[in-house]
Amino acid sequence: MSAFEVEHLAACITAHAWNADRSRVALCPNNNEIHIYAKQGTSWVCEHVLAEHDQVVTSIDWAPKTNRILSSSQDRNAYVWTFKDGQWKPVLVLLRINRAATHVKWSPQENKFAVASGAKLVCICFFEEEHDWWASNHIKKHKSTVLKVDWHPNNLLLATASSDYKVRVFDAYVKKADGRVQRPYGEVAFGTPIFEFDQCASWVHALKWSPTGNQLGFSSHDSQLAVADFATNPPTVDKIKLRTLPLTDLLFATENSIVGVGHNTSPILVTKQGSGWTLQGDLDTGSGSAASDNTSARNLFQNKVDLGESKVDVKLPTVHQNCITNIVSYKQTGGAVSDFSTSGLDGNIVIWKVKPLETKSKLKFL
Amino acid sequence: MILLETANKILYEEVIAHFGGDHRTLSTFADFDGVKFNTRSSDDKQQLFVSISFKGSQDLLKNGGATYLKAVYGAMLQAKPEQGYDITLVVDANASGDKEQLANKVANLKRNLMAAPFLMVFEAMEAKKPLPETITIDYRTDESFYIKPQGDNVTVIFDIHFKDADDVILSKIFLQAFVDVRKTMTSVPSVTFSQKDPPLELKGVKGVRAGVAHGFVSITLFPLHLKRAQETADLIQTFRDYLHYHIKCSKGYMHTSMRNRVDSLIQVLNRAKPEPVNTVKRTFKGKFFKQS
Amino acid sequence: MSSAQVPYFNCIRTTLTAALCLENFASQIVERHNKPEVEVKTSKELLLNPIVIARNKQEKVLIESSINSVRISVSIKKSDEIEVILAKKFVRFLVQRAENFIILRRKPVEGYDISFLVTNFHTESMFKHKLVDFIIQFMEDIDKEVSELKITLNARARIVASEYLKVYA
Repeated sequence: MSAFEVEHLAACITAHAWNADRSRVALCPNNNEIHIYAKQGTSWVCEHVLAEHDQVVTSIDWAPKTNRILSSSQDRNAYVWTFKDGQWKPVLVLLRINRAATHVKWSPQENKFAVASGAKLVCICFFEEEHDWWASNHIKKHKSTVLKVDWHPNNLLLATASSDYKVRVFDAYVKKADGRVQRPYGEVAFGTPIFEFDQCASWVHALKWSPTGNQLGFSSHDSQLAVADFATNPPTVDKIKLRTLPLTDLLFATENSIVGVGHNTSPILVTKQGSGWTLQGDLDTGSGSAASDNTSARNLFQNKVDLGESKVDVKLPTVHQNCITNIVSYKQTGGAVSDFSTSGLDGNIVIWKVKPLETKSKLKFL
Repeated sequence: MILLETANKILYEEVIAHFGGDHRTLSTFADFDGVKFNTRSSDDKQQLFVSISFKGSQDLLKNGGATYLKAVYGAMLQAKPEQGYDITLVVDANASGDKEQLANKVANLKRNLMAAPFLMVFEAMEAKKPLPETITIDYRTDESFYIKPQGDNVTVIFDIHFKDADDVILSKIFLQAFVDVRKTMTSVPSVTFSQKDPPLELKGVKGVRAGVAHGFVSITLFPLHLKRAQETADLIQTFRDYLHYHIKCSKGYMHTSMRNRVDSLIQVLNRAKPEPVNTVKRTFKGKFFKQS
Repeated sequence: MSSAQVPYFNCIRTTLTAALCLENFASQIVERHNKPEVEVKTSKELLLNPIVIARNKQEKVLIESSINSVRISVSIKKSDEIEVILAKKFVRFLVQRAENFIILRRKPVEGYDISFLVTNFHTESMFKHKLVDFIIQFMEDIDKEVSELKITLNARARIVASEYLKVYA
């Protein structure tokens, strides 16, 4: 069994998201459209093209339970797409922001979602029954663009990563959506950070909560990966300096294993042994996938003219040929991620299988 | 061809064509140093008038030109040049003697004109006749050359003007090479050059230009060279054009070389672009097909 | 490439690999704009410290990075007047063809001979490692070209001079 499956679906993919049963994938081919591919037999067929945004789509999130797609774009808008009568119908969200929307995320219960933006704030959006629209509350307090957001499994806490070098944790309780619930840090005023982490020396590109919500991993442009442990208050932060290029997205495969992807073209594995986190190494150990055998006589001469060489060895030994921008869980068994998928600027969506990957790279997920 | 020819090829062919008869001509063409030639045949096609216009011709005619041209061309020289030109020769279609030799003689009109002052000086030196201290020939706008007899030797000084700042630097390399190469050879004229300031030989000479764009090349000819007067005159008068010609050639070479280098760099950049996958192409008949 | 230059180019290669980690980043100052931050310089926190890698006073590279763009400026070795004009001519040649050299900045940064501007759109559409290769190759080539031309120019001058003077002898 191969450790991965590669699908080349576009020239460049900026974001991708799977539906609940993984039969469909929504992706953005680095433009204003969202393409929805469905698997038919062995090949992927483009089923729908959602073209409502008018600038590049920055992020896509597909709610598994309610089957709604959430998308954000640099045109300052976010849409909630619902599937009705064989068509995807967009509903504009009243974000009330005037800069690009950079990242979106459904809350675990799918009753609200967060939109990060270049307006140095985060919108917490919820559905207002009486007006039949998605309204939003703003969390300010950021000094630069908010790059990523992630929900705590308890549906209340929200972590944000910003280009002002900080990670913040907010209580995103919205009375209209959440009703009466027990809040973990008491009656904190909306929009006041509960915690602020300044361990990073550069832009924070990625952050993720662990499956239990007891840990928050984040990584920044200075190639640092930090994990905050919420068992104590204030949380203790363990940070490691990576020798690789910066990470742009993280995934907690288990509570003690993080898969990081980024500018390095190969996913890396970081695990917690004892109390500290350590870098295990590259998961993609260079499959040595042969260069494409595209040597028709015409190509040969064309290359000679354009490139000055009849055959150019442009391929990197890794599966991804360019920066990896997204990593999402593809399949879970027994609370642990068994398959995960990555997409990158090279236009590939790769589904990685943990078990064969472990044997191939001789690394161990914990 | 590394040395320049002294005869004008077009003029030579015009004259040959004229001897072939049945050929009406009226043409104007150029040569080095801003020289303009005009050839015109008479109505009965019997005579060909060859005229030359040259900025330095007055100076040249004064300094031995008139005498020398008379000696070379004799009766062919028309007393009154054509309107707008400085000298006119008449070539008769039925002239006796070797036609090619005659044509060659006519084609060397400019050479003979330019060579005249040199030959005059050389001859006078041989005969130990008195000579003016310095002969100045303003043969181009902004540029002159000077002939200065010094004892047994003759120093020829070219004032060469460069319009382009880059040419000044390039010329420095070339002129320095003349100075350097000269050291390794025997019985060749001595060459020195100075940029900006005129050499000491020109002290007290009126109207000497100076400036960054001016280069002064002094070539001192020794008695040995003066004996071979014609050959030396040929060489010395083409010096400036020779220098310029090679500066231009090396610029041309630089361009070609850089162009090639830039092209190869573009290829290197193109290597960064991924191959397009699954390009759809149209066939000759207008159908589409997918290239895998 | 002479072996003395190897560490210099290796250093540039490594630095560029790290500097070319770019992402698509819309302006947080101007609505619906997406501009290279290294050029507009409107948000201080989005710029990284510029790096100068220098071999000597003349041979140096300035790498200025930001969240979505990198500006690379190269200063070429010019030991005498000839190398100055050769370098100048070469740069002019390149700028004339800037259209083809997508990443070439038409106006070099002050104090440098030539500048490149690489944005996230370039790293999206091209292989990053090949882009780095290109810049290194470019620097090698320009050095090589200048010294080769200088040699041929001197050789030509000597031939021209000796051919001319030979006739007198």
